[in-house]
Amino acid sequence: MQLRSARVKSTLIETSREIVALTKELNISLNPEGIRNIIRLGRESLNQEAELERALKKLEEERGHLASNFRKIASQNGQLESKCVETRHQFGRVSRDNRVLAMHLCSRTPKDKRQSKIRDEMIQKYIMNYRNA
Amino acid sequence: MNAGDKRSSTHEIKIPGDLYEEIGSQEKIIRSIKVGLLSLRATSLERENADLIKRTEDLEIRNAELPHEIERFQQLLEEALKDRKTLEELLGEKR
Repeated sequence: MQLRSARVKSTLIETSREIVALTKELNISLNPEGIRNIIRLGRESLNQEAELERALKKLEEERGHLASNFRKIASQNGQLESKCVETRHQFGRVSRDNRVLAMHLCSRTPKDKRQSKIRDEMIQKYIMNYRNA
Repeated sequence: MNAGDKRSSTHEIKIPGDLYEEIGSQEKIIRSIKVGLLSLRATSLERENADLIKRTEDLEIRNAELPHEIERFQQLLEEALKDRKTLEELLGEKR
Protein backbone atom coordinates (compact mmCIF):
# COMPACT_ATOMS: atom_id res chain seq x y z
CA MET A 1 0.00 0.00 0.00
CA GLN A 2 1.34 3.40 -0.88
CA LEU A 3 0.21 6.84 0.05
CA ARG A 4 1.67 8.63 -2.95
CA SER A 5 -0.27 11.77 -2.13
CA ALA A 6 1.90 12.29 0.92
CA ARG A 7 5.26 11.73 -0.81
CA VAL A 8 6.84 14.89 0.46
CA LYS A 9 6.03 13.78 3.97
CA SER A 10 6.30 10.07 4.77
CA THR A 11 5.27 7.23 2.50
CA LEU A 12 3.97 3.89 3.72
CA ILE A 13 5.26 0.87 1.85
CA GLU A 14 4.73 -2.83 2.32
CA THR A 15 7.69 -4.89 3.24
CA SER A 16 8.33 -8.64 3.16
CA ARG A 17 8.35 -11.29 5.88
CA GLU A 18 12.07 -11.69 5.22
CA ILE A 19 12.76 -8.07 6.10
CA VAL A 20 10.59 -8.31 9.20
CA ALA A 21 12.43 -11.47 10.27
CA LEU A 22 15.81 -9.80 9.74
CA THR A 23 14.84 -6.73 11.80
CA LYS A 24 13.66 -9.01 14.61
CA GLU A 25 16.86 -11.05 14.45
CA LEU A 26 18.96 -7.90 14.56
CA ASN A 27 16.72 -6.40 17.23
CA ILE A 28 16.39 -3.12 15.41
CA SER A 29 13.45 -0.84 14.95
CA LEU A 30 12.34 0.33 11.53
CA ASN A 31 11.41 3.82 12.67
CA PRO A 32 12.13 6.68 10.22
CA GLU A 33 15.65 7.19 11.58
CA GLY A 34 16.35 3.44 11.55
CA ILE A 35 15.02 3.17 7.99
CA ARG A 36 17.23 6.06 6.90
CA ASN A 37 20.31 4.36 8.40
CA ILE A 38 19.51 0.97 6.93
CA ILE A 39 18.81 2.39 3.46
CA ARG A 40 22.06 4.36 3.60
CA LEU A 41 23.91 1.20 4.58
CA GLY A 42 22.20 -0.70 1.75
CA ARG A 43 23.07 1.94 -0.81
CA GLU A 44 26.67 2.18 0.39
CA SER A 45 27.14 -1.58 0.39
CA LEU A 46 29.51 -2.76 -2.30
CA ASN A 47 27.91 -6.20 -2.28
CA GLN A 48 24.84 -7.39 -4.08
CA GLU A 49 21.97 -9.15 -2.36
CA ALA A 50 22.98 -12.58 -3.68
CA GLU A 51 26.62 -12.09 -2.60
CA LEU A 52 25.50 -11.07 0.86
CA GLU A 53 23.20 -14.05 1.14
CA ARG A 54 26.07 -16.37 0.20
CA ALA A 55 28.38 -14.66 2.68
CA LEU A 56 25.74 -14.95 5.41
CA LYS A 57 25.30 -18.65 4.74
CA LYS A 58 29.05 -19.13 5.02
CA LEU A 59 29.22 -17.08 8.22
CA GLU A 60 26.36 -19.04 9.75
CA GLU A 61 28.08 -22.33 8.89
CA GLU A 62 31.29 -20.99 10.42
CA ARG A 63 29.40 -19.96 13.55
CA GLY A 64 27.98 -23.49 13.80
CA HIS A 65 31.48 -25.00 13.73
CA LEU A 66 32.84 -22.42 16.16
CA ALA A 67 29.93 -22.91 18.56
CA SER A 68 30.37 -26.68 18.46
CA ASN A 69 34.10 -26.36 19.14
CA PHE A 70 33.42 -23.86 21.93
CA ARG A 71 30.97 -26.25 23.60
CA LYS A 72 33.57 -29.04 23.47
CA ILE A 73 36.30 -26.86 25.01
CA ALA A 74 33.84 -25.47 27.59
CA SER A 75 32.89 -28.99 28.62
CA GLN A 76 36.57 -29.91 29.11
CA ASN A 77 37.01 -26.71 31.08
CA GLY A 78 34.07 -27.59 33.34
CA GLN A 79 35.59 -30.97 34.14
CA LEU A 80 39.05 -29.53 34.81
CA GLU A 81 37.75 -26.65 36.95
CA SER A 82 35.65 -29.08 38.95
CA LYS A 83 38.65 -31.39 39.52
CA CYS A 84 40.77 -28.40 40.53
CA VAL A 85 38.18 -27.10 43.03
CA GLU A 86 37.69 -30.59 44.49
CA THR A 87 41.45 -31.11 44.99
CA ARG A 88 41.86 -27.63 46.51
CA HIS A 89 38.98 -28.25 48.93
CA GLN A 90 40.40 -31.65 49.93
CA PHE A 91 43.75 -30.03 50.62
CA GLY A 92 41.99 -27.26 52.59
CA ARG A 93 40.11 -29.77 54.75
CA VAL A 94 43.21 -31.84 55.58
CA SER A 95 45.17 -28.68 56.22
CA ARG A 96 42.56 -27.37 58.68
CA ASP A 97 42.49 -30.74 60.46
CA ASN A 98 46.29 -30.58 60.73
CA ARG A 99 46.04 -27.13 62.26
CA VAL A 100 43.71 -28.46 64.96
CA LEU A 101 46.08 -31.39 65.59
CA ALA A 102 49.05 -28.98 65.76
CA MET A 103 47.18 -26.93 68.40
CA HIS A 104 46.73 -30.06 70.49
CA LEU A 105 50.43 -30.73 70.01
CA CYS A 106 51.33 -27.42 71.67
CA SER A 107 50.30 -28.77 75.07
CA ARG A 108 52.28 -32.01 74.68
CA THR A 109 55.85 -32.46 75.82
CA PRO A 110 58.07 -34.15 73.23
CA LYS A 111 59.71 -37.42 74.25
CA ASP A 112 63.05 -36.82 72.53
CA LYS A 113 64.99 -34.43 70.30
CA ARG A 114 63.62 -35.95 67.11
CA GLN A 115 60.02 -35.50 68.26
CA SER A 116 60.83 -32.02 69.48
CA LYS A 117 62.18 -31.08 66.05
CA ILE A 118 59.15 -32.48 64.20
CA ARG A 119 56.77 -30.89 66.73
CA ASP A 120 58.38 -27.48 66.15
CA GLU A 121 58.16 -27.92 62.39
CA MET A 122 54.45 -28.82 62.55
CA ILE A 123 53.66 -25.90 64.88
CA GLN A 124 55.61 -23.58 62.62
CA LYS A 125 53.82 -24.84 59.53
CA TYR A 126 50.24 -25.17 60.78
CA ILE A 127 50.00 -22.42 63.39
CA MET A 128 52.63 -19.75 62.89
CA ASN A 129 52.84 -19.77 59.11
CA TYR A 130 49.35 -21.13 58.48
CA ARG A 131 47.51 -19.81 55.44
CA ASN A 132 44.07 -20.93 54.36
CA ALA A 133 44.01 -22.91 51.13
CA MET B 1 10.32 -19.60 0.02
CA ASN B 2 8.34 -18.52 -3.04
CA ALA B 3 7.14 -15.01 -3.86
CA GLY B 4 3.66 -15.80 -2.54
CA ASP B 5 5.07 -16.84 0.82
CA LYS B 6 7.20 -13.75 0.99
CA ARG B 7 4.18 -11.52 0.58
CA SER B 8 1.89 -13.59 2.82
CA SER B 9 3.02 -11.83 5.97
CA THR B 10 3.82 -8.20 5.35
CA HIS B 11 4.30 -5.11 7.45
CA GLU B 12 4.08 -1.52 6.48
CA ILE B 13 6.97 0.78 7.09
CA LYS B 14 7.09 4.53 6.87
CA ILE B 15 9.68 5.92 4.46
CA PRO B 16 10.75 9.57 4.97
CA GLY B 17 9.48 11.58 1.98
CA ASP B 18 12.86 13.01 0.98
CA LEU B 19 14.34 9.52 0.85
CA TYR B 20 11.48 8.27 -1.28
CA GLU B 21 12.00 11.18 -3.68
CA GLU B 22 15.74 10.55 -3.78
CA ILE B 23 15.54 6.83 -4.48
CA GLY B 24 12.53 6.99 -6.69
CA SER B 25 10.78 3.66 -6.39
CA GLN B 26 9.41 1.29 -3.80
CA GLU B 27 11.29 -1.61 -5.37
CA LYS B 28 14.64 0.17 -5.03
CA ILE B 29 13.82 1.13 -1.45
CA ILE B 30 12.96 -2.45 -0.52
CA ARG B 31 16.16 -3.67 -2.19
CA SER B 32 18.24 -1.09 -0.31
CA ILE B 33 16.60 -2.02 2.99
CA LYS B 34 17.23 -5.70 2.38
CA VAL B 35 20.85 -5.17 1.37
CA GLY B 36 21.32 -2.88 4.40
CA LEU B 37 19.85 -5.47 6.75
CA LEU B 38 21.85 -8.32 5.20
CA SER B 39 24.97 -6.24 5.48
CA LEU B 40 24.22 -5.48 9.12
CA ARG B 41 23.52 -9.16 9.81
CA ALA B 42 26.83 -10.12 8.18
CA THR B 43 28.68 -7.62 10.39
CA SER B 44 26.86 -8.90 13.43
CA LEU B 45 27.73 -12.52 12.57
CA GLU B 46 31.37 -11.60 11.96
CA ARG B 47 31.46 -10.07 15.46
CA GLU B 48 29.74 -13.10 17.00
CA ASN B 49 32.25 -15.41 15.32
CA ALA B 50 35.20 -13.27 16.40
CA ASP B 51 33.80 -13.31 19.94
CA LEU B 52 33.44 -17.11 19.86
CA ILE B 53 37.03 -17.46 18.61
CA LYS B 54 38.27 -15.20 21.44
CA ARG B 55 36.25 -17.05 24.10
CA THR B 56 37.46 -20.41 22.79
CA GLU B 57 41.10 -19.22 22.84
CA ASP B 58 40.70 -17.94 26.42
CA LEU B 59 39.25 -21.28 27.51
CA GLU B 60 42.04 -23.19 25.75
CA ILE B 61 44.63 -21.12 27.64
CA ARG B 62 42.81 -21.81 30.93
CA ASN B 63 42.51 -25.52 30.08
CA ALA B 64 46.26 -25.67 29.50
CA GLU B 65 46.91 -24.06 32.92
CA LEU B 66 44.47 -26.19 34.93
CA PRO B 67 46.38 -29.53 34.87
CA HIS B 68 49.36 -27.74 36.47
CA GLU B 69 47.12 -26.20 39.12
CA ILE B 70 45.52 -29.57 39.82
CA GLU B 71 48.94 -31.21 40.09
CA ARG B 72 50.11 -28.50 42.51
CA PHE B 73 47.07 -29.04 44.78
CA GLN B 74 47.55 -32.81 44.57
CA GLN B 75 51.16 -32.42 45.74
CA LEU B 76 50.04 -30.14 48.57
CA LEU B 77 47.32 -32.62 49.51
CA GLU B 78 49.77 -35.52 49.58
CA GLU B 79 52.12 -33.50 51.76
CA ALA B 80 49.25 -32.53 54.11
CA LEU B 81 48.18 -36.18 54.40
CA LYS B 82 51.74 -37.15 55.35
CA ASP B 83 51.77 -34.36 57.93
CA ARG B 84 48.47 -35.60 59.33
CA LYS B 85 49.99 -39.01 59.86
CA THR B 86 53.02 -37.45 61.55
CA LEU B 87 50.81 -35.29 63.78
CA GLU B 88 48.68 -38.27 64.77
CA GLU B 89 51.81 -40.24 65.62
CA LEU B 90 53.14 -37.38 67.74
CA LEU B 91 49.82 -37.15 69.56
CA GLY B 92 49.81 -40.90 69.97
CA GLU B 93 46.41 -41.28 68.45
CA LYS B 94 45.01 -43.15 65.49
CA ARG B 95 42.19 -41.37 63.69
